Amino acid sequence: MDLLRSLPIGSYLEQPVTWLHRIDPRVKLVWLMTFLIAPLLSNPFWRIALAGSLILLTIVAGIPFRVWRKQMGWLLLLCTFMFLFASISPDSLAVKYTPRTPPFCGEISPANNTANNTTKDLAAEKTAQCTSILAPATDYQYVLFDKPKFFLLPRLVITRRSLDVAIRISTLIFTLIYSTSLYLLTTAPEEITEGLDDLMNPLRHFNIPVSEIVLTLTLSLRFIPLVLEEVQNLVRSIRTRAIDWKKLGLRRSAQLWLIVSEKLLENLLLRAEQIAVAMDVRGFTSPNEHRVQWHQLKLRSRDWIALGILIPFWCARWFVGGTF
Amino acid sequence: MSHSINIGLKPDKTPVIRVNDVGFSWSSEAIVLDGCSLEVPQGEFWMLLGNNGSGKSTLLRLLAGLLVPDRGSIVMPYKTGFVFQNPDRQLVMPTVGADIAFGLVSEHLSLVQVKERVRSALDAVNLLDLERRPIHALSGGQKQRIAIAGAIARNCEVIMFDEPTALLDPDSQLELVAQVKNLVKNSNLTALWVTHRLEELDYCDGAFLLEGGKVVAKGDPQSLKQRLLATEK
Repeated sequence: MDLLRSLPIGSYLEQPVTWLHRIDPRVKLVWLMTFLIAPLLSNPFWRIALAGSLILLTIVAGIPFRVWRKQMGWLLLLCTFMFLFASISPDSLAVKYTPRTPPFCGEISPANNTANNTTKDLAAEKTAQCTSILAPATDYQYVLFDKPKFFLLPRLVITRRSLDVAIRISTLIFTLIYSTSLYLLTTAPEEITEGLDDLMNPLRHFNIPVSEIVLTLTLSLRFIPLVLEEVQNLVRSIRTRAIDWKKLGLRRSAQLWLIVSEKLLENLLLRAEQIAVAMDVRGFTSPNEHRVQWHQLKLRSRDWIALGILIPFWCARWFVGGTF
Repeated sequence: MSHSINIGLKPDKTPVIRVNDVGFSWSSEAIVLDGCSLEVPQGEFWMLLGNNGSGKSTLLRLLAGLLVPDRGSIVMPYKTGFVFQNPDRQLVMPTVGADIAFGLVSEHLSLVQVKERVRSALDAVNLLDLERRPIHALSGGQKQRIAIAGAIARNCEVIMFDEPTALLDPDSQLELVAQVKNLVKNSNLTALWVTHRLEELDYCDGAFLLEGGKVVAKGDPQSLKQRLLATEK
């Protein structure tokens, strides 16, 4: 199971049990949705604050450093790279240029200066007006950094727009991936599905098979490692045959991978059938009745506090975090 | 059972598994079991040996009710658990505790009762500290013990094992078989264990040898082991 263990995202941490683990899965789901929605149409400071609050939450929750170093490390690296790349990329903004010189400047040329002295003086005065550098009205600068030669780059320009886009992309990626990862890290898969089962309860009135949907989701969460294991076994089986891919050519390589994909599908269907047999032997009732009870879904005081914090959070998002 | 050899057979206790003259075939040419008969006494640990294709796994599937015999009868009045060769094909929930609780749904227990049953089953297989662990993070031996705990939690009186040590290393293999022996000894369990590893015979109370779809020898495991080793030489 090397492939699965090497995946840094989405794995459940069963020990130590932190206070984040103890919060009701439904409350955590509401908070996850909040973290996914709150960055939309918000200003850069709010987005940075959201990403920062996730890091702070991880530290305050007491999640061991070895766990979040692995999860957060590569994500921070990716986001930093995205930030740098987007900052120095052209901002692609179509600026409508408005000259800060008087409109007559375009008409002045040395050829026009052949008239009498009075006209010459007037023209000289106008030329002086046009050539003098106008002082900026405010300290606003659209271009924040501009160097013609910067290390290996022919020119490095950072504008307000590119910086804004860089912050948007990097913080959005971090918030979306890390909030989901933190949720999966502190919530057992069947807790998630039990929480969903409870939240989807009203759908039962419309004869929607909620338990069946939830059971299917739970089984698929168990099935993911098995799929990865099958993929890994097939990849290993191909590797051990020492195939010379260069000699094989594109067409025959594609044929080989098609055979492998066929085998993978066959193995997965066989596994699914064997699991179905095992379920029968283990006392499976029927898809819409088999509700596995394992977690008690009860809102305690800590859950109400977590829900209560949502009110000031959304007020802050509305009044402080909105776009300028 | 007139056609089978009894080797140092102990006095029979009440049988909890009774197979009488069972026949099964996949087609008219592929006859798997032909007049197979055996009895497993209550509270004992018996093994079923045989070469590949001798019908061991088919017999176990017949006992579990997954297949129906063509003829003969199978009497098993007690609740039965089943442990498959590959536990990855048996464990269906994402974490240990929830997987054991999977088999308890039909009993309509309260959450407190479910938790009690799960913990007591995990305690029986010495894995109480793994209650919250994801299944994919367990070793092969631990997965097999979780599968056994699933049967114990359901209060199964009989557990059948279909080559549960086939995918384990030698140390884990002997550790598992020793643990099952202790379980049978300490509780009123009956176990029927399919294997083709002779060293596992040291741990059981009795054994059957299956050949050509019928039991050809049964009784004391050590005598059977000696006989099989002599045949191999």
